[in-house]
Amino acid sequence: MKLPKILIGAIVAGIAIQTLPPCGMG
Amino acid sequence: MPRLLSTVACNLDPHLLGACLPLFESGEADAIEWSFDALYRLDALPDWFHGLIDAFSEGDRLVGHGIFFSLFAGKWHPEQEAWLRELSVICKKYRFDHITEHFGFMTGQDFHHGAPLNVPYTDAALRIGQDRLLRIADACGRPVGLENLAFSWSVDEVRRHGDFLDRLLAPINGFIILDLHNLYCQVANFDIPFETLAALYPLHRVREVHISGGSWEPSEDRSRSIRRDTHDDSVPDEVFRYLEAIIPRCPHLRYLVMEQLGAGLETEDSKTAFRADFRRMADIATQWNVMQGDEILHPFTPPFNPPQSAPAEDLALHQQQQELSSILENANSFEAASRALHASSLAQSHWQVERWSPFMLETAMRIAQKWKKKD
Repeated sequence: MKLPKILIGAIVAGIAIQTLPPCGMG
Repeated sequence: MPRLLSTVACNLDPHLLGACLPLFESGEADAIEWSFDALYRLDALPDWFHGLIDAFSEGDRLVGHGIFFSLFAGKWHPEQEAWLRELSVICKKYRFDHITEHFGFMTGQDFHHGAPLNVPYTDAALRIGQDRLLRIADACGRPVGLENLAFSWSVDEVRRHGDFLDRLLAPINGFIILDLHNLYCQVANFDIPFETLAALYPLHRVREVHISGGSWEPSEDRSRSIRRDTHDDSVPDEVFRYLEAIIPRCPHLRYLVMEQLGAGLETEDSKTAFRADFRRMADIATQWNVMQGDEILHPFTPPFNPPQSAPAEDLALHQQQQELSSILENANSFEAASRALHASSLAQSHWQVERWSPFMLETAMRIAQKWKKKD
């Protein structure tokens, strides 16, 4: 499923901000 | 058979999302599986993440995978009531094609911490599990499924897991997530051939398959390695072979899901390896889709059957779970845990602790202590 470019841009920006400086057996 | 959808397990994790981004841009990810209960509060999610979930929801390509409900907790907890309320709210906001949870009970004294462990396959456990599944189906109004558990105390439990899942899911017309890496762990840890294990599962109930990687951990006495489902490495070749073998035997399979934790995706190399694994999975799906039509058949709709009574409880089971959790979380050696177990109320009971594999008791201690809430 292809996402709209504007949403991809928002995700890229969101990830950039996010990275600012258990099914058992796990 | 339905068309197979190549799916990524997706959470609010920058490393995981960074690895998935090219798959979203290219349209290679047909669907996403979201662990909706990893956060209690919807308002703690950023708008752009809501946008991502919304896009797949509107495309009818969103499935939900819970982690923390603790299906077999012997006592009904207020946190489970809250979990169901949250589920109901989230299912009104987004359209999930189905909702799934894990098998087992959570070791933690605190509801939002701990790891799932197995329970004895008794009538009491069955009654509690069926009661909880009914409540999940009522809260979400969607088909409900359960994932096979990687952890088992004994080889006997491994052999009976599929049949118990079948009986558990029957009243809600539920389905199974067959986690192939969980089976890979059991093949390695209990020396059972994959074909033997697969034949013990009700494959007509499989609607979703998970693939992932894991790690090997030496036993304390260094005599062998234990395979663990740590979701922090690439998918073993053997698991891809399992996938190719199992697809033709699951007539209602719809979702193939690639799982990996963000902690294992911090480098560019690991992100590239993740996408290579996804594409290998997607190629297998494509080969199958070329040969098949797209019968949009959804045989797992739960019957309308709202819960009529108070939640089922078994206080003796609850007490045993508390004792077991405490032993696993606090024992400072395998010998101490073993002694405490044999002096506990679990001894000479349905738990059959006398038949537990020593390697798995050791592993359970490591898992419980890893996920124990830090004060």
